[in-house]
Amino acid sequence: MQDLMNKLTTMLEKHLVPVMNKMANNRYFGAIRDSLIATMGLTIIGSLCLLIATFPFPQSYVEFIAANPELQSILMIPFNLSVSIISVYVAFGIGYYLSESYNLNKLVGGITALFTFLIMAGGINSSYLGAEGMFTAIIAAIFNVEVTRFCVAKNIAIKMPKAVPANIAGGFTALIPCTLSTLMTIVLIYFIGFDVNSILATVLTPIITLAGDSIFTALIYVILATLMWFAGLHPQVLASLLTPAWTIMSVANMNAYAAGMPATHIFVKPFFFTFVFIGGQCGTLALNFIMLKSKSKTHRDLAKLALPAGLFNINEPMLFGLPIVLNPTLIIPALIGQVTTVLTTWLAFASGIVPPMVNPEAALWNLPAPIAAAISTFSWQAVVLLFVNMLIQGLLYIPFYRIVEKDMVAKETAEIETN
Amino acid sequence: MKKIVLLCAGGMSTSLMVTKMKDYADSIGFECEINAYAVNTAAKNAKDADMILLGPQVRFSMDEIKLQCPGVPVEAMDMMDYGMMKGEKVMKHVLEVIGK
Repeated sequence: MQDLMNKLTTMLEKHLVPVMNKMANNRYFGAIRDSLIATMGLTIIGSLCLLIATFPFPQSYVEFIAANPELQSILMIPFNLSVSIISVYVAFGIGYYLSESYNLNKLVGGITALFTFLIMAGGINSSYLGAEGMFTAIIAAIFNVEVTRFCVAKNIAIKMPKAVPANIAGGFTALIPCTLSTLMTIVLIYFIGFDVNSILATVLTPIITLAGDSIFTALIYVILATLMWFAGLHPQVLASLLTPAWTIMSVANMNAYAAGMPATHIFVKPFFFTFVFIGGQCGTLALNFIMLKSKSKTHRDLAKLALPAGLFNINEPMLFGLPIVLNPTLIIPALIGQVTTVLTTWLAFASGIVPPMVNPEAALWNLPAPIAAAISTFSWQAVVLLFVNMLIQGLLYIPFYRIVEKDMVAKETAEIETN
Repeated sequence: MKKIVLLCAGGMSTSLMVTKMKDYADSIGFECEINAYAVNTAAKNAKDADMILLGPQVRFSMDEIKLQCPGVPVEAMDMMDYGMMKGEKVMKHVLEVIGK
């Protein structure tokens, strides 16, 4: 057993993690991810406004909002200027971060990438400025930065005399690459009539959302994440690989909801971080409560230490202190609990028993789970689902925890006797 | 004043350890600055530290951190010490490494 554990740990640490890190640190992927992270503040503000403007209870509040349509439209302004045009910000962000990674002028890179995106998307009234245009934003920004890099590498630039300040010279350096990418984009889209937006939106977006919005991806994700924790490694890299798909699906759900259409994506970020990782990854909150009444003093102390952070889904004290890390007994219920609650959550959403996550961005991962469940779905059914999942995770942990508890009590008694 | 930096995935769980370490440092009257950050901000936040401690869950970033912060001693915290948040033990070890 010890041998198998060591093998698994070495395998993950030496082989899987470096490969994953390499993928996550890929230049393009990194720029896309960082720009999505940079827009988080905006999507959260947008989602809060959506929350206030459309909160479904109590009835008196619903009637008050319905009687004041001007108020509702004012409340929706931040939503319309954040979530609904998210790709504008993403294009700037990718241009900025990608230029930074090439040591090019990043502000100029961000601005010109945004410019190229607006041309590609078809202007400031385009319907491709939201989630549908995300890939146009990605392609436009990468294209723009790569043209710039090509020009810089080949020394194609307007050279300013040395006496001209660097800031001003930077703006001129961008002139030729920007003209080139603008020309190519305009010829391709407006003269040749290549409709890049609808091609990307009808081909690429469905592929990514299909890949991300699937029970198989969800299962692979939680199994790998749990195994990485078993080896004591933070699986952040897995989450960062899924972040683009999560963002696109969240924004699509929110826009659909705001437009009165059904929100169709199930496997958005809170699916995992609210309904499965209850109290943190490995779903330790239920176990944490159980341990408050443990026969072992060490475990009771640990439970008290871990609970305040655990309510906000931070559970390193449980993972490393109990521990669950490298613990072949506790990894079994952890893994089964994670897989089972992925399945129950999927069934609950897919069958419509729990209303869809129309406002997933409001459910920040470190919000206490019942609050996150309620505001991401505007429903009480989601809170019930959450407690059912927590119960499942707790019941699975109990028999295995009793074994660990017995060992610890024996150890404590032995220590008292030797003293 | 000595500067100690703790790094983990998001700088959240290490901030629990920071509190415990500060408690011990205060109790022995050792003046120091202890902060927790996300591991990907090391180049910005940890370059001028006297010592860097990694949460065990990000120990695989050790080589990268050493490259980003040349000359700063970098160690991963022990898993059990970390889990039980033994600030006193970790702080004592830090004092051994950086000197009082």
